[in-house]
Amino acid sequence: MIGKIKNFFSRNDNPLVSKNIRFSYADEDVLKDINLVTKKNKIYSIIGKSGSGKSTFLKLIAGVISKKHRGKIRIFGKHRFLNKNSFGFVSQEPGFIPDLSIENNIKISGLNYGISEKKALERAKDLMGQLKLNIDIDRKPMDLSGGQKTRLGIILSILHDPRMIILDEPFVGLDFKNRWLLWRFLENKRKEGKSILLTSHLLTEIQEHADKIIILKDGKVFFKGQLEKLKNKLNMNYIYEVRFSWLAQSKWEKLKNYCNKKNGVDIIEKYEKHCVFSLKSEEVKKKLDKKFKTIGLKDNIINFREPNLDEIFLKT
Amino acid sequence: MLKKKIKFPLRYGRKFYGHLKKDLMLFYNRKKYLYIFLIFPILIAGLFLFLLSPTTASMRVGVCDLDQTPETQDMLTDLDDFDIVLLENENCTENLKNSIMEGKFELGLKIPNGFTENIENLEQASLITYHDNTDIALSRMVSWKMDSSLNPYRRSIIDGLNEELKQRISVARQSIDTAEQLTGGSGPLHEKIIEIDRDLERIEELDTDFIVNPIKTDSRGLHHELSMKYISIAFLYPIITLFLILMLASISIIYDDKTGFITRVKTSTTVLTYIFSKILFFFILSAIVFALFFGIFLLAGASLTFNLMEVVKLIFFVSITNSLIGMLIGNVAENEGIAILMSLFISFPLMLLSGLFFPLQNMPYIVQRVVEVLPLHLQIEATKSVILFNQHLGMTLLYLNVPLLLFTVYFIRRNI
Ligand SMILES: Nc1ncnc2c1ncn2[C@@H]1O[C@H](COP(=O)(O)OP(=O)(O)OP(=O)(O)O)[C@@H](O)[C@H]1O
Ligand SMILES: [Mg+2]
Repeated sequence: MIGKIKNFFSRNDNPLVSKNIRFSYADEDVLKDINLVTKKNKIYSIIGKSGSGKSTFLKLIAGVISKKHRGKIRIFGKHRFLNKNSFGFVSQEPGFIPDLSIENNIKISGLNYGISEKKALERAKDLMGQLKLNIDIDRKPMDLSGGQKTRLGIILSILHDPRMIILDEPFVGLDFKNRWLLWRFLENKRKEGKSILLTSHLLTEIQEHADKIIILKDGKVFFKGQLEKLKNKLNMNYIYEVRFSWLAQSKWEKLKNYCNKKNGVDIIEKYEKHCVFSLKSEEVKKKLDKKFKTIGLKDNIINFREPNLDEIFLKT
Repeated sequence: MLKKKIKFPLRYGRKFYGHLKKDLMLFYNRKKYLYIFLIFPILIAGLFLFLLSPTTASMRVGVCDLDQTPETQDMLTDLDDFDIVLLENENCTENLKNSIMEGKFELGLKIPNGFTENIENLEQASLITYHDNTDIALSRMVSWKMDSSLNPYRRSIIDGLNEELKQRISVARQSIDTAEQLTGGSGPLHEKIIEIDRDLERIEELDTDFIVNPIKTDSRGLHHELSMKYISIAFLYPIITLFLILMLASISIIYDDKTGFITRVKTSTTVLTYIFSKILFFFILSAIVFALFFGIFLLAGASLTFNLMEVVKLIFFVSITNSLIGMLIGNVAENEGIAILMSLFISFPLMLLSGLFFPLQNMPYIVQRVVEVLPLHLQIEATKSVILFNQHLGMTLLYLNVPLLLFTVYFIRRNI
């Protein structure tokens, strides 16, 4: 009891603390039991299959969904309604006022955060420079290209220079160069001491830029941490791609029996004579090669390498 | 620390101002809404002024005169309120009915054979009028108008009759005088003759008006100093505001939802700030409607005295109720089309029950009690008391909005 009270009063400065979050739109629970604490000054990326509830979770944190949920959400130690100026939420839909000019959109968004119109314009100009967005602000937002809209949407949501930036699929519709630019932008923000929480399907880029990965699965946090940890958890330190010259059904059955957790081998994909295995260690590879011989399979190695996030993701 | 204390209200002030500014700019930028909003009250007020002071253009009346006597011609020339067209006697009734249906005449009049003869024999004569009873407003007015137009002619018949009666009685009284002299001034016969003479005298002095209409009703409005023009504004202003604000408020909620602006509101401001700024916005619009209405009615010659503070209170009352109802509609409707339909669905029955078009006193007791608490009715009563009678507006009316406000906040928070 005392501990609880202490906890209550102790200043918890984690950007996000969510405990036992349970939520449903209708009957079925979208989020079943989400427990997630993020640390300051890091880029967190949430991944998960389409429909796994990533957007729902972010909207819940940001207070966009006001339907009742179970569990506790704290942003920098406070209820989100009391701490709106500490985070900026970039939703999947940019949320412009289409009938007003970009300039007025900036001013209104600034006012929403309680910033003066002049200051909002200054901040927007600065951010536009950082995101290399050269547009005429007298135009209407709907005149912009998809990528320009995305970047403007981000700018409008962080005019108040929040400590945490929450982005829902910010890379959709951006070409490679702009994605790279946005990653750089987010990394710079991290350098400035901001905390970032985003969702994306671009696993390769996440692998490269994010500090920590959060995998949502079945309404729960399936995994949180660095990639290495996930590989270990999944027994998946190497990828072994093999093409057989001939693969009869009976031999395939034998091979399938061999591939299990005990032997440290897992089949990720099979397409005709082409198989992709995940292996726990280099040791396992030698054993597997032997097995090929005993079964009587002639192999033609294509690749033996470390897995990428796409492959890891496929396995979850 | 002090700095933070000052900052807090400033920040909230800016948030509020931001919402209001956005709505005002949007309203100005979306010209179609702006024009309709400005033209609608002007149009309705103008139309109403015309309807209340009809022009002197006379109605066209087709006549079948089957009697064709000098008297019937006299009667027709007496009907100078109408534009009389005489039809051929052949198949007259059928032609008359067809012409009315084709819209050539507003009214048909048939004088049957024997009309004059009946009058001369002191028997009741009848006229037949035809009109298109699917034209509700016209048919209500037509019979009454024909009746009242015939009044001078009726009177002239009665006057003629009266004249004739008087002449005959005067002759009779002369004969009685002679008879009285013959009785020698006394005795029962003399008494009887005097009695007859007195009765005849009373008949001679009979009032023509009494014969035409023995009981006359004279109805007097308590506020005879207020003209119809003047009174109608107390009904029209709330009705028009109800229509406009319901539609604009519901549409604006849907617009904010569809464009994702609500998401920005929810992650940066509070729903309460948002709702209050909307109420203020619609207060401004309601005030504009009020000014437009008054401008037009003042130009048309109405003279009004009222307390400005009470008017502000009135506009506040009208706008807060309507904008809250409108926002609730915007919450329930999926798109702008449905929002407008729902606004009509609500405002149309309220308008019919406003007491401007049909008397509520004829309705069942329950309905009357229900009508008394309907928003439009309350608004009309409030407008009447402020601009017609220059009275104070009770604050109880405003309290009625508190539950509505709570309900709206709850709904918007939950649904959007
Ligand atoms: N407004 C809503 N009402 C009802 N169900 C919804 C609503 N929004 C989302 N859902 C459902 O909730 C589940 C999670 O949706 P969500 O948008 O959070 O998924 P996601 O992980 O963001 O998917 P994606 O990667 O495709 O964006 C889905 O099954 C979806 O159908
Ligand atoms: Mg999503």
